[in-house]
Amino acid sequence: MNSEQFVKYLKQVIAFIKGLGDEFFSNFEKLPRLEMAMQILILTVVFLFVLTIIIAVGVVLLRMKNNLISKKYSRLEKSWEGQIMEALSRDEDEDFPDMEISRRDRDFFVQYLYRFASRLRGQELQIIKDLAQPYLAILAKKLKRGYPELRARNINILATLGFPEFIVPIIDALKEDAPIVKMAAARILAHKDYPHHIDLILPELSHFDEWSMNFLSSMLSEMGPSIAPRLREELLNHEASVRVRIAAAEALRQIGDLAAPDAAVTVLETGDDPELSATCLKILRDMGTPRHRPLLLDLVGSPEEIIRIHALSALGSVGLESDATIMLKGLDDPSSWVALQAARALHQIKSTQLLEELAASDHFRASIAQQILTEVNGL
Amino acid sequence: MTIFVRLLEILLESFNYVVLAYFLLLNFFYLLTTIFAFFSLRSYARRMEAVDLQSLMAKAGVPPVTLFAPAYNEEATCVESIRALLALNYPEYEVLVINDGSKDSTMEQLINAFELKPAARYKVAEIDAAAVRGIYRSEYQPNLWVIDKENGGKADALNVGINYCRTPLFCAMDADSILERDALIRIVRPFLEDAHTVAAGGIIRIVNDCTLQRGTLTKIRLPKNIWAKFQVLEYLRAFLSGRMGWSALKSTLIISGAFGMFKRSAVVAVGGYAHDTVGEDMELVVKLHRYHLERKLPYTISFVPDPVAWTECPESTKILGRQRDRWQRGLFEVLSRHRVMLLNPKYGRIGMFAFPYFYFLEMLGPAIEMPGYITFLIAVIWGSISYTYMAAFFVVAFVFGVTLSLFSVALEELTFRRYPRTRDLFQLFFLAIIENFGYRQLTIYWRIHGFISALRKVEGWGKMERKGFATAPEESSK
Repeated sequence: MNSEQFVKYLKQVIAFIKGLGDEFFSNFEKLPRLEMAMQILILTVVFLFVLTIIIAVGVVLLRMKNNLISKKYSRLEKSWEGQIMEALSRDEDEDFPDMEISRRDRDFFVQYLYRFASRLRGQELQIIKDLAQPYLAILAKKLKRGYPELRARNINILATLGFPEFIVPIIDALKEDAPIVKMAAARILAHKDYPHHIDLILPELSHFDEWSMNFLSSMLSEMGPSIAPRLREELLNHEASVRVRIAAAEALRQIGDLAAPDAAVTVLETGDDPELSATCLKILRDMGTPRHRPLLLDLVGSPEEIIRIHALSALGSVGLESDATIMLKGLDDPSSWVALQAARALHQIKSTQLLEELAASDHFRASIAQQILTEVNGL
Repeated sequence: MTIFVRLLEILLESFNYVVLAYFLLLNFFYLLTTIFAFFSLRSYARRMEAVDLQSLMAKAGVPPVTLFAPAYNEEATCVESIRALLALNYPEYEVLVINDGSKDSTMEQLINAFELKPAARYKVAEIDAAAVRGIYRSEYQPNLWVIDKENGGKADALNVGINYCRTPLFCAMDADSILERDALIRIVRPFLEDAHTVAAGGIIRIVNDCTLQRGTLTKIRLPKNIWAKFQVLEYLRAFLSGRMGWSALKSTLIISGAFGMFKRSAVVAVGGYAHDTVGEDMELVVKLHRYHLERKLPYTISFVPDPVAWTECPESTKILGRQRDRWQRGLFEVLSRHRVMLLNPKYGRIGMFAFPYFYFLEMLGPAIEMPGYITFLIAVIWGSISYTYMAAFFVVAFVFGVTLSLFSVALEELTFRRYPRTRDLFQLFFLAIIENFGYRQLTIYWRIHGFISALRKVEGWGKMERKGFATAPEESSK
C-alpha cells in the first residue's frame, strides 16, 4: 500500500466516523423534550463510556506490560546471577571481564547490583562495586534531574556501590531543596569514616524540622565518637534551635561520650527547654556519677512531669540507698509515669525490700511495685 | 384541588432538583478524591522506591510500639492471628491482646497456645474502662501480653490497652486481622518523617479464600463468594481512591479500626476511645482533629496505602447488612456528636470541607436517596419527568459508577498489584459492572436501615461470624 492509498483510506475512515457522529447528533433533535440538560447527560454518558473503555484497555495493557517486564527482568536476573556468582567465586588476584549489559538494561542492572550488595560485605561487596563501576557516572549525572524520589533512590545506590568515589555529587545533593533528597544525602554522609562531614550536616539539620528526633539523633550517632566534641559544642550553643540541640544531646548519649555529662549539667543548670532537659537527664542516667546527685535531687521536684520522670530515672542509676525517701515520695506523684520510674529507681538502688513491702501493702501504687518485682524476678 | 396538584408538582420537581444536586455533588467529590488519589499514589510509589525499609529499621531509631488486639469470641482465628503478629518484621514491639470477656474459648486457646502465666503490669493512664480480671504474659514470647477483662465492647477494650501501653505509639487492630510482615515499619514511617504525626491509617484488604502459612499470606486471590468479591472492589474504591484522596487533601477523617497507628500521648489527651458509639474509630480521629485545631497545635493525620491488614469479610447478606447498618449508625453518632465542627471556619479545611462532605453526603445521603427514589418514581408516573430523562440519568449514574470502580482497579494495577492472576483482574472488571444491578441498591438499603436505626438510637454491634483462615497444607498438617 503506497502513501496515497493510505491517505485515501484514512480520509474514508474519518468520513465514516464523522457520518456516525452527525447521525448521532441529528437524532438529538428527534428526542422528546430535548433540553440542554439532556444533551449534557448524553454527552456525559458518551464521554464516560469512552473513558471507561480507555481505562479498562489501559489496565489490561498495563498488566501485560508489567507481566512482560517482570518476565524480562527475571530472565535477566537469572542470567546475571550466574555471572555474578562466578565473579564472586574467583580468587582475589584473578581478573574477571566486565559484564556486557545492553544500554537499555543498565539502570536495571545497577538496581539489581544494589539489591545484591545489601547482602554482602568486604571483598564480595568490592566485586559488586567493580561490576557497577562502568555505569555509575551516568547515575551520578541523573542526581541533577528527575523527580525527587528518583534522585533520592539514586543517591542510595551511589552510596552503596560508588562510595566514596561519588561523594561530591552526594555533598551537592545536601544543598537540594527537596527534603527527601536532602535527607538521603545527609544519611549517607553521616558515615563513621568521614567525621568531618558533621560540619556539612549540622548546618542543614534545622531544615529537617519535620523529621522525628529519633531519626536525626540516630543519623548523627552513626558517625561515632570522634564527632562528640562538635556535638557538645552544638548542645551548648544557645543560638542553635532546640531541636538541633536535642538531636545533638541524644546522639551524644547514644555514642556514650564520657564528657557529655558535664555539658548536660551546664544545660540543666540554665533550666532550658523541658524536652532538652529531659534528654540531658538521659545522658546523666547513662553516664552520670554520684557527684550529679545534688542536681538530680533538685530536679526531682520540678513542676514539669517529663523532667521528674527522667530525674528519677537518672537518680536510680547514680543514687544511693539514702535516696529511697525521695523515691518513695515519687511513688505518690500524680503522674503514673513518675511513679513507675520511682519504683524502678528504688529497685536500682537495691531497695528491693522496700519494694516488696510496698507490693504487699494496700498502697494505691502497690501494683507498680508488683510489676517491677515481676520484671526483675521474671514470671 | 388544582392548586394542591400544582403544589405537589412543584414539590416533586424541587425535590428532584435536590436529589440531582446531591448526585452531582457526591460524584464531584468521588471524582475529586480519585484524581487526588492518583497523583498521591503515584508520588507515594516513587517515594517507596527511594526508601530502604531495612535501613530504616536498623538505623532510623524507630520507636517501640504496642499492638492492641482486642478479641471477643475469636476462638476460630485468634491463635493464628496472634502468631502472625509475633512474626512481624519490626525491631521492638509488644503485642497486647485484650480479651473482652469472650464467652467462647478464646481465653483458654490463648493460654494453651502461648503458655500464658499471670503477671503484674501497671496502668500508666486512667481512661475509664471495664474491670480487668487478670493479666498474663507468655512464658516463651516475652513480648506477648494478654489482658482478660469484663466485656465492655471494642472501644472499652482498646481503652484498657491504652491504660497499659508503655510505648510512645500504639497500633489498634482487630484480633482477627493479619498484618503483613513489613506493615509496622511502613505505617510508622510517617511518624519518622513528620514529627507532628499523631495518627496514620493503613489499608484493609480482604483475606477470604487467600492462603496463610505461618502467619504469612502465601496465595492471594479473589474470594469465591460473590458478596466477598463485591467487597474486594468496594474496599479498593474506598481505600485507594477515597482515603488516599482525602489524605492527599489533608482531610483524613476515618482511620479504620482494623489497622491504625496512634501517638499514645495524643490519644490519652483526648480521653481515648468513646464507649457510647459504634463508630469509635472515626470518633477518635475526629476528636484528635478537634483537639489539635481548638488548641492550634500542629498535627498530621494521614493514610498510608501500603501497610496492609488482611481481614475476613462477611459472606452472607445477613451479616454484611448488620455490618453496614453499624457503619452508618457509627457515622451518624460521630458526626452528630461533633456537629459544632460543621461549616465552622475555626476547624479549617476539616470543618469547611471534609466534615460537610461526610455530614451532608455520607450521613444524610440515605435520607435524600430514599425519598429521592420514591419521588423520582412518582414524578415519572405523574409524567413530569420523561422516560428518556430518567433513562439517561440512570445510565450516567451507572457508567460513572463503573468508571470510578475501574479507576480504583487501575490504581491498584499502577501501584501494588496484589492480585497477580489475570482472571482476577477480569473478574474485577466484571464486578464493576454487575455490582450496579443489586449490590449497590442493597448497600443503599442497609445504609438507609442504619440511618433509621441511628434515629431510633439502636445500640450494639450485631453478631459477626468467622469461618477462620485457610492455611497451606503443610501448616494444617502440623
